[in-house]
Amino acid sequence: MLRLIVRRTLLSVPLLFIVSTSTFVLVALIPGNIARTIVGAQATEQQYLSVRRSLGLNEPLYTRYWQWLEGALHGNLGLSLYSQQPVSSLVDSRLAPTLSLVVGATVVSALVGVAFGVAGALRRGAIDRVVDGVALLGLSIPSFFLGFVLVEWFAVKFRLFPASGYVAFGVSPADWLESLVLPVVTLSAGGVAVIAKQTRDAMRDVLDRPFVRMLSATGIPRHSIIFKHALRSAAIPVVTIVGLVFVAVLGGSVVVESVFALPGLGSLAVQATTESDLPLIQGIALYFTVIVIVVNLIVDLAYGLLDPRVRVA
Amino acid sequence: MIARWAQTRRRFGWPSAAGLLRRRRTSGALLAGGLLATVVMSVAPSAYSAPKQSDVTAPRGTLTIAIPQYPPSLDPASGQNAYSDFFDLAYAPLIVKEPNGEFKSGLATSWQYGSDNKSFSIMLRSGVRFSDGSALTAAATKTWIQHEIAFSGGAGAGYFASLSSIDVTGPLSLTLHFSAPTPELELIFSQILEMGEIGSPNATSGKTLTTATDGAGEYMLDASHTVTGESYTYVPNPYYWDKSAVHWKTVVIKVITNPSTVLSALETGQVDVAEVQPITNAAAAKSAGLRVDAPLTLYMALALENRNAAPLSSLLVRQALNYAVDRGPIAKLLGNGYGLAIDQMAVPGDDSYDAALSNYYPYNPAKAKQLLAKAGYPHGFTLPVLSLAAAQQNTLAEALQGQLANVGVTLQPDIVPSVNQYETDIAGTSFPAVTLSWGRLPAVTQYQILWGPNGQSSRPFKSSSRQLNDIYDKLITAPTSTEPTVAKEMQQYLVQNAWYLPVAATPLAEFYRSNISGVNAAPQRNTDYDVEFAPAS
Repeated sequence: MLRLIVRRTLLSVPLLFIVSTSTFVLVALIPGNIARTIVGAQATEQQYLSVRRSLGLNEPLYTRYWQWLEGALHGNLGLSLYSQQPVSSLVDSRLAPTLSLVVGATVVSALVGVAFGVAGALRRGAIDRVVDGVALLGLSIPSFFLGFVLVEWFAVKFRLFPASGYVAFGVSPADWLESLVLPVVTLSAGGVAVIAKQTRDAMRDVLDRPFVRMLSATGIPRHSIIFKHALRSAAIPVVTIVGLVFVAVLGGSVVVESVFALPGLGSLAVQATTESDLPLIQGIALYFTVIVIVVNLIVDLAYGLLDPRVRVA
Repeated sequence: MIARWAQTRRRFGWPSAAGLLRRRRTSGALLAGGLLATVVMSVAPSAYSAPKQSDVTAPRGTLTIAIPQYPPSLDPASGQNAYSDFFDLAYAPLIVKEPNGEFKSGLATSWQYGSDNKSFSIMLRSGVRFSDGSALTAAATKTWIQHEIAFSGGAGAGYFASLSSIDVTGPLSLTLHFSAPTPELELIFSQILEMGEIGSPNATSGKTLTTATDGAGEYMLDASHTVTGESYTYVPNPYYWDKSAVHWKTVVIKVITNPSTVLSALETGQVDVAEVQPITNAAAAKSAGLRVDAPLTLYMALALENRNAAPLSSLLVRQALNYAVDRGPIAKLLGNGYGLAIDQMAVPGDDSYDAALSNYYPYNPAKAKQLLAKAGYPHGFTLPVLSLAAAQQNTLAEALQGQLANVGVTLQPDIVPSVNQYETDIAGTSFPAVTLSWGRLPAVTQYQILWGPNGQSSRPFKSSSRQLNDIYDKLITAPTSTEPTVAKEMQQYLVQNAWYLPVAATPLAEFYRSNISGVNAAPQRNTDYDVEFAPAS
C-alpha cells in the first residue's frame, strides 16, 4: 500500500509540471491584458505602459514562467496582478467553501446514488423505473436551473435555507450546514443519477452470480448477503464512478458558486480569467490539480481496501 | 405567486411561515423516503432565520450591499468611480454633491475659484481626524493630491494635468494653482469623481491602502472580516466628526455577480441594497415588494471614431447612420421600460443637454439611403465594430446590426468576452467604431476623457477637432452664467457632426428593501451615495 502511495505521488510531479506549463501558455494566448483592466480605457498610453512595466508584463513569457516556477518550488505563488495580494492567501481563503461544497456533493451523490441503485437492483419494476427517471432528470437538468428553482422554493418561498452566501464552519457549524444544503443538492443531482445507474447495474450483475445463490442456500440472512457480500463486490466500479463524479463536481462548482454567491475557487477562477490575472490562474490550477491527484489516490486506496488483489499487485 | 407570498409574509410574519415549514418538512420526508430528502430536512430544524419584517424598523445594525464587481485596490486615489461604494464608506470627500445637484460642505467648509478658473482655494473643517487618529490638515491634503497624481494608472493625473503648484496657506487652508483654466473642481473633489476623498498621509507613506482604508469617512474597513473579492466589512470610524451620520454598526459589501442571485438575496433579506445593471429583473423585484431606483445613468451609443478615414470620414455617412436607426424600440429593449431614446450624448439635467436637439435625426431609412448614395455608398458598406459581451453592449450591437442592414450597412460586431479585452482593443486602431456604455458627466469632463484629443473617442485615430477644442477653451473660461450655453454649443457640434450614433440612456439601478431610506440617485446626481443609506423610520 505504501508503495502504491509513493508511486502515485511521484507520478503526480510531471502532471503538475504539465498542467502549470499549459495553463501559463494558454492564458498568455488569451487576448487582452490585465494592465488595461487596472488603468481603465480612459488612461493614457503612458499610464498603461507604466502599469504594464510595473507588472512585469514586458518580460518574455518564458522568463515570467521561470520566475513563477522558481517561486512555486519555494512555496511562493506570487502576487495577484489585479489585487496585489499573495496568491496563496487568496486561494487559501477560497478553499474551504469549495471543498465543503465538492466533498458534500460527492458524499451526498454517493450515499443517495448507492441507495437508489441498490433499491433498483433489488426491486425491479416501479423502483427500477424511478431510478431511470431520477437518473434522466439528474443528468438533463442544468445545475444553474436547478439551483434557481431550489432557491425560489426553499429560500424565497419557504425560508428554509439562505438564498446565497457561505458561513465558515468555525463561525457556526449549523449555519455552515444551512448555507451548503441548497448548493450541495444542486451539485449532487448529476452525480446521484450516474452513481445510481452504475450501482444498480453492478448490483444486478453481482446478485445474478452463483456465489450469491450459494450464500442464500447456506441460510445467510438476505440483508447480510446484500450489504456485506454483494455490495462490496459491486463497489469497485462504483468507487471509480465516485472518483469521476468528484472531478466533475469540482468543475461544476464554478457554476453553482456563481448561482449561490459562494466565495469559492470556482468563482475566483472566473474572476481571474476575466482579468487575465495569470499568477492567480496558475495558483488556482495548481490547487485544482493537487485536489484531483489526492482524490485519485484515495480512489486507488479504496480499491485496495475493497479488493485484496489490488493490494498484492 | 411571489407577490402573494410577499403579502402573506407581511401580513402574518415569520411564525406562520415556520408553521408552513414544519408541515412541509413532515410530508417531504415521507415523500422522498431517501437520503436526499433526509439530508435536506435534517438541517431544517434550525430553519433559516431570515430577517423579520419587524427587524426592519428596529435596525439590525448591519447594512448589506450587493455589488457585481470589486476593485483592484481600495485606494480611492485610483479614481475608478465604478468602485465608489468601496471608497465612499471610508473616505469623506472635501465637497459633497447632493441629490439636487448642489454642492455642500464635506471635509472642506468653503472653497473658491480664482480669476479665470486658474486657482482654487479650499478651507478645511477643523477637528477632523482620519481613522488612524491623525488630523486632517492642509499639508495632509496636499500630500494626498500629490499621491493621486502619482497613482499609477489613476485618474488624478488627468484631472490635475494643468496643476502647477499647491500652496499651503495655513494649517487648514490651501490653494491650488493651475497653468490652464480648470473648472468643475467641485465635482472632481466630490464623491462623484473621488479626488476629494482624502486619505491619511501615514497610509500613503506606508502604502497600505490597497487592502486597508484610512480615510476621514463614516466607516473604516474591518480587514479581519473581509475576504478580498467576496465580502468587505466596514465598521464605524471612531474619529468621525459627525456621529449622527453613522447609521450602521456594520456595513457589508458583498460581491455578487449573478443578477438572479442578487434578487433572491434581496427577497430573503440577506442583502438590503443592490446595484443592478442591466435592469432586467425590475418587474420581479417590484412584485416581490422591493423598491427600484432607476435613474438614467448611462449613454448607450455607437462611437464613430475613425473620422479620418472612409467611410466614417464622410459627414453624410455618419448622418445616414443616425437617420437609419429607430431608437425607440432599442431604448425599450435596453432599458427594460426605464430607458430613454436619445439623439445626443446628454439627457435632461446635463449641462450640455439641448432640448432643440431632441429627435434631431428622426427615423428615416429612405433619407439614410439617399445620404449614403450621395456619399458614394449606394450599396452601403461593411463596418467592423468592437463590442463587449456585457453591459448590454452586445445587445446594442446586435440591434443596430439588424436596423442598419435595412439601409445596406453591414455591421460586423466583434463581441469580446471580457472588459479587459475590450479596453485593450478600444485603445488600438483595429475598429473604426465601438459600442459605448458611458456615464453621465459635465461637458468639461466628457471632453477631457471622451471627446477631446486625449479622450477615448479621439485619441486612437487622432480624430479630434479644432472647432470642438475651441469650444472647450471657451467653456473652461466661461463665467458660471454662460457656462450652460457653451456646454450646449459643444453638444450641438457633436450632434450636427454626428460623431456618435446615440441610441438610448439607460439606468444603473438600485434595488432595495423597504427598510432602507436614503437610496437616492436623483437625476441631478446620477448615483447613490452609500453613506446616506439609513434605516427607514
